[in-house]
Amino acid sequence: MQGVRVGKRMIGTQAPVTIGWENVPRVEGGPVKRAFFSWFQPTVLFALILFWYYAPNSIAKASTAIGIGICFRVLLLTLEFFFPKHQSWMITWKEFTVDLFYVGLGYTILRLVDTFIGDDVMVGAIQGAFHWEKFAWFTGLPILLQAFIISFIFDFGQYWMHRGMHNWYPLWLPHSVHHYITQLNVHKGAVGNPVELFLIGLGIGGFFDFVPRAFLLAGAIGMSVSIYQHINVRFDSPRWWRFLFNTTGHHSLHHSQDFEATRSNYSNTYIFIDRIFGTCLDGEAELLGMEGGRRMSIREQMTFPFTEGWKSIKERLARPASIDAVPAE
Amino acid sequence: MQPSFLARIWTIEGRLPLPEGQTAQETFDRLRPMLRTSGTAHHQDGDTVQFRKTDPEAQDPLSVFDHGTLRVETAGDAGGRVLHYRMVSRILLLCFLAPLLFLGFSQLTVFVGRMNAPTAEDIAKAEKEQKAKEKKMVTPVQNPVDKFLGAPAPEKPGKDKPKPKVGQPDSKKYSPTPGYVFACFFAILYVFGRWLEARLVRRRMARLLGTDPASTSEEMAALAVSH
Repeated sequence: MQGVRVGKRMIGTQAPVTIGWENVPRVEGGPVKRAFFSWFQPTVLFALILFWYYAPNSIAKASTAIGIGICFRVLLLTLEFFFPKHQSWMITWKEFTVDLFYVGLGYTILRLVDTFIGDDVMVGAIQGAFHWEKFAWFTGLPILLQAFIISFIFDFGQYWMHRGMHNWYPLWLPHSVHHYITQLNVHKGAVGNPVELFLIGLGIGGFFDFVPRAFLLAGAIGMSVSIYQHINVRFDSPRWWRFLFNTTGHHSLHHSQDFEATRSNYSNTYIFIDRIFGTCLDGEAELLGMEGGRRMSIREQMTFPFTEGWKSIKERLARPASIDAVPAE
Repeated sequence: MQPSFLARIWTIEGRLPLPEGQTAQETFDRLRPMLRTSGTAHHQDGDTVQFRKTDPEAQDPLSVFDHGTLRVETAGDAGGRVLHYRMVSRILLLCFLAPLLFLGFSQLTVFVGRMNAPTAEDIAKAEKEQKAKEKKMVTPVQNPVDKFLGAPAPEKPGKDKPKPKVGQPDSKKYSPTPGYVFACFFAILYVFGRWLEARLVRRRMARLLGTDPASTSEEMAALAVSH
């Protein structure tokens, strides 16, 4: 395959990818359908911002956020079912069941583990050790600014953690499992080895003091943008949206079968972080996964980082130590 | 042979009547596209085809099944021929067992919560720390921009926080509810999946064999009466 030159890199030499928004297909259908899929994402984002900004204190609670999150996911699943972007990514009973299993792990056993070794515990320990107070003056900032700072700090940390996972073998091992997914659906973001799911959830937001409403707003911004990373629906979102935020197209390139393409679009919410650091790639891909699109079983997903890690250690130990040859006199 | 009551949890079995005069070879040739997929190995022995799947693709029409047998048999006194299929699915079994796993997680959460329930000493220490914190803590000042835009004024943090009781685990931190909810989800998913996948595999095979699924079910009912 010829591939496309993007900066110093050749993208798409191993598997087909589409580079550049002008080459990405648009939503087909009447004016109402096209308007719906153009303005759906911005409308939901602004509606949620308005809701969390003005909701009375009695409603602005985490339980409301969970309820909205569940309803929104049901809506997106319905859109996926009736308006799939690719037939080859169509949700099936098996795919949905496996995805939900990982969502369930996140809400139960991983949450329990987090209470002992999660980021809040780590931040608390560091603060205790150094007698640092929280940055209390943050609470006086406008709420929307606080919300943006929370989500940006988390996403900035996530960008480097994610980039680290693609560049350092011990971190790549747990993350590689997530790259064996062969299609994008609403809950695919939860699929991965539990070690990776723990690592990717780490953040440093706990160091700062924000008002609870700002956290809810930040969560709403994160949800109404990053949820579209893994979804089988085509949106013709405005140019400013695609410039600022991560999209299904960006993330499909990140999951493509082309190695160079996977080394891009690391952020979770704000794709402009990738633009700043030169890792952004605009476009999309349909053929996803590793090893030519081999689908991994749950059992392998659970053990792969450990078995592969063990194999690598054995190979390294078996390799004869390099000896600097000295020519015989 | 009918699968046992227990094996029906993970086994899907059925019979599809074949058009008159269709041989076993013709039947399997028609079904071949279903078996020629990535990760599928199949072997024909006379009137029987056995298949086995390893990491099938997500869109594989038989992706739910791990192995199975397709056999062309004579059914009834009239000498009509049917395709007898029996397929085994590990994912159906796992989905059936998943509620137990999530109930287990719930019970583990309750157990860990009990183990970490605060003692009188912990509560006294926490109250002391809280009082010291509250001395420093002031109700957050609303930014003038938010006040101008009409956002509700922020409340003092921790106002709604329930007071810890001796021996009572933190109900928020150690809640078993998510485990119960997911146990219910998987129970529903199992019932739905067992019904859906049996229906889908039957319909897909009927289409490949060129028999109308609607008429097929009528013919099957007739066959069942004749047995």
